Amino acid sequence: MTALSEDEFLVLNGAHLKKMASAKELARAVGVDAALAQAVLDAAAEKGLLMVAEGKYLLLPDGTNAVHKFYSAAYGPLRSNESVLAWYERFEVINDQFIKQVSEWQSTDGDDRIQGRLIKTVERLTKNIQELTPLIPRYNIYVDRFGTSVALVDQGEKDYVCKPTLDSVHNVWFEFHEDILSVIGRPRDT
Amino acid sequence: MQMTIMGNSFVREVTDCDVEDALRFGGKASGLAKMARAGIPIPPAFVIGVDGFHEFRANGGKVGEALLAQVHEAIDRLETQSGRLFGDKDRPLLVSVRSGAAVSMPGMMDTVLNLGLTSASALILADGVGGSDFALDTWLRFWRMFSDIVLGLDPSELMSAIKAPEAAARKERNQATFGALECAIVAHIEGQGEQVSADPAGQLKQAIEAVFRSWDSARAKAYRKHHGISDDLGTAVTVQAMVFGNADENSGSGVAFTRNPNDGRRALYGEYLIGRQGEDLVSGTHTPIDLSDSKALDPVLRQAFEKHSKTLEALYLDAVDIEFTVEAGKLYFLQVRPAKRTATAAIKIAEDLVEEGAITKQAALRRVSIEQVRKVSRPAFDEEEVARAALLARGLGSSPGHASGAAVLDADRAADRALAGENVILLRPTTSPQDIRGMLAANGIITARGGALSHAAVVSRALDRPCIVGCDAISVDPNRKTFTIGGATYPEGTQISMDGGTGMVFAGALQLKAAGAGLPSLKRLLDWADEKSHATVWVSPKSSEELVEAANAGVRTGNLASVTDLIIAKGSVSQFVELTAAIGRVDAPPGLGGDIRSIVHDACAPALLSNPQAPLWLRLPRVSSDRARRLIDNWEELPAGFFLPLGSTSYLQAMLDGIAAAAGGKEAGVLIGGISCVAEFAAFQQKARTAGLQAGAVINNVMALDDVLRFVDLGSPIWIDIADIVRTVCGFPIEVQQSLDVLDQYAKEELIPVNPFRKLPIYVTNLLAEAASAADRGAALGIEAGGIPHEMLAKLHRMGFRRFSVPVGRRDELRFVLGRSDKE
Repeated sequence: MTALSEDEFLVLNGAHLKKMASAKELARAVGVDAALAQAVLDAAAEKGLLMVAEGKYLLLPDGTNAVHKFYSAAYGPLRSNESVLAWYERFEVINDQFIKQVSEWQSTDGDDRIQGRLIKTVERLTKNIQELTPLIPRYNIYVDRFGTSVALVDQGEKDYVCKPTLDSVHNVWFEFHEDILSVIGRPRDT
Repeated sequence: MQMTIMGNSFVREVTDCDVEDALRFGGKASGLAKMARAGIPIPPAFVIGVDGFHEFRANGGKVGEALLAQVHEAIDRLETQSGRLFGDKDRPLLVSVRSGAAVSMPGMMDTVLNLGLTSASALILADGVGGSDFALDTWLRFWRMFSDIVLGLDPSELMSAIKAPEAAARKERNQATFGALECAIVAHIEGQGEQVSADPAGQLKQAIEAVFRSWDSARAKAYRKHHGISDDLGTAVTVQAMVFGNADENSGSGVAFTRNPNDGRRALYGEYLIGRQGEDLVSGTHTPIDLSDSKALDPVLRQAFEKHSKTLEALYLDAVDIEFTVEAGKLYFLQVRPAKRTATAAIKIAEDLVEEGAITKQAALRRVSIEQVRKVSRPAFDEEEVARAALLARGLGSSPGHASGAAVLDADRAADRALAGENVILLRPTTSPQDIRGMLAANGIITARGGALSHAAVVSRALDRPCIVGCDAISVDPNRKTFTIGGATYPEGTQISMDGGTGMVFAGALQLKAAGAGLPSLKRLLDWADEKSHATVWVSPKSSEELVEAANAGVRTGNLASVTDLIIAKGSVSQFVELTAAIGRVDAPPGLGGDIRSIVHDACAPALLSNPQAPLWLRLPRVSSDRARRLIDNWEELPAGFFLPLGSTSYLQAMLDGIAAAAGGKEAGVLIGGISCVAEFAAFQQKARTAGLQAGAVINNVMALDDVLRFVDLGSPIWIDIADIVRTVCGFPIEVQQSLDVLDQYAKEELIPVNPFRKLPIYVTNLLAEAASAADRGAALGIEAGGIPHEMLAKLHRMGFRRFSVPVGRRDELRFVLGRSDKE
């Protein structure tokens, strides 16, 4: 199997993180042109890397392997980079905070004070992500996506806090977490 | 004085009557001013008005000398009023700094508390009753807030950077350890590239500047742009003296509610901790005084609470919660807000406020949210039945609510079975985003693994589905399609019931009872809603039991039951489907009609015989429906004529006979669907009357809708299946209608202007115009509204429709929504 190109990786990584998504959703999530995403997905389906069901794309085991291989090749050096590993340690702390805040937000019917703290945690993460973007430029898209979702929450669209069917703050966070784990080559705790 | 002469008075005490102008002094200060005028005791405070903000802007984003001089003068006055000195080490004046625009908005600076402490004053505080720990907690709380809110640094990083000097200061109380801690804090902050000073005057200036700067934060700007709020409005800053609940034995702090926030009863409620600060409520070492216990609180304080509660409720026209502190016997109210409350309490409070003459019935409907009505009217198990039920397993209840149905172990199969009309519980080892379709379709979700923060828990709460996680007594075998609990193995499809609050899983399908209308306060609120809307909301019960429950709730409206639902509830659907497919064939053997007749009879009899007073109409099965297509194997092989409403006389006659026999002479009506012409309906009317039944029709297509007035003229009740109309007009398959989120997203991408199931397209509005005006004139014309969002039904109500039918669980909610919907 030939290694993935940069574009192929971007799109297939989107499918890897989102599990099941349309070409348009994927293009938006990874910040590539919709036509390009469609072309990559079609070619990958041809090669048996993914399958399509009801217009949604799902990676097959070969596709997942190809994505993991790209991660190891592209980010191998980062896996022993002290500052990246230290960055991840800090992320774990604020990740715990965030998940607790989401849970608290849900159990208080979206209390405004808790929402304020939760968004603050998101802003902290986006600020921290910007320390990584010189090393991983594609992470800028997470900053944009968080910004868009937070703006919608601020406008009163509370579904953008954690509704699973939207690009909610919780969903973006979830994907980012999977992404950074793959970058540093660690499995996810259950 | 001098500043006033120059016409540049930026700073006012909150007791100044000008401060009530929220536009110039912000919502927070204006609220404080109103409280002060009403005689509510508040700690002394001053406010920098929006003029100060404009000065800050004009001065290049810096607090200038003139403004600073006024702030210091105002601090001097706070010192006089509080008997403390700002920056002093023996009796330091501590202040809080808050942002306050006329409209509160996201992105504005949060409150900084305890500003004014230094290592020297913290050390003296440590000599007091609370000791070192209390003094350090108070002081470090200030530093955490200051670095987080004013400087934008991560407070947990600050705390880990100063661990060693903090431990030293906790161990040994002296000038050296406290001073070293202060140096470490300043050094960490400076190491992060921020400037800071240990001097409270400098900190106050920085905090004020941070409030002003937060006006131009990206979030605040985006919010103003979205809401059309001018960027030039500006924000005020409120600075308030902090009072000390730990001053002596006559001090303390707590939270009070003017009404019980759990059930809404009008009685003082809350907690009071003697000798502690408000932010110190966590420790748990002191038992708080229960304010609802009339003997527990000092009589003078109790009297003060009673007096001020009345004043505040008159001011807010609502129940309020109050954060308060008592300093050396003197009561201060720190923050007052409309009280947080449970759904039950919200409804009770709204009802009582109307009784007390504080608000109108109309306002009462506004005081309660749709979510709150939904919550209290959520169907629940019968408690006696729960007590008798066999407990299968117990996990962690992580999203409340009761549900029962067939346990299905795969998300796609769960979605398919739910689409065919079955109640389904999704039972999985864990869930992931791939399971979303099944989670949306299931009535409840159970996972064997995972905790309160797992995917299943978070997503279920977001979807408002009952959920139990960590049910580790259950092991799921996806390959064999079985699950095992305590040695017993069950096949997929086994009926189970779950309580997402307690985490209990029961054997069998427990019945759900509509809970809401049993609540007297909700009943009154909904009566007011009906008075306002002049609407009648019918229900579509899924079983005879549901019908009886709905009737027992005491609302006398009609029932619109589907014969297929009643057959499913009775458990004879597979037999019925086989017979339906068989009788449709050209070579159908004789005698099938009799079998169909008896299935229909047995399924409908309990509903018809139990139906107390309220009319019951039965929707006949429609072979051309999407549900029939899913239920009948080889559906497409049925002869074409069988799909027409009156295409099979023997089939139709068998059902009419079955229903007539079940009614046993009682009045009953049947509704036919799928017809397109008046002649068709007249023929059906004839058949139904011959069988001794009343006839009506459900309109599912545009052709019939276009002729609606002629249908109405025949004098029979007509129902418009609005979902079918919208769906067929747009050409969507049923799957699209069942996932409104997909269409929402489609609309968001501007591929269609709006989701037509939320906002009627103009074309459909025009189609409905004649029907709406006939309904408005009192014709027996209703909207069958299962699956349609409330906002659309409110719109149809505004157009003139007055009769709706929804599933039992949505009746209360819809009555409420229609009562709140304003006519255009």
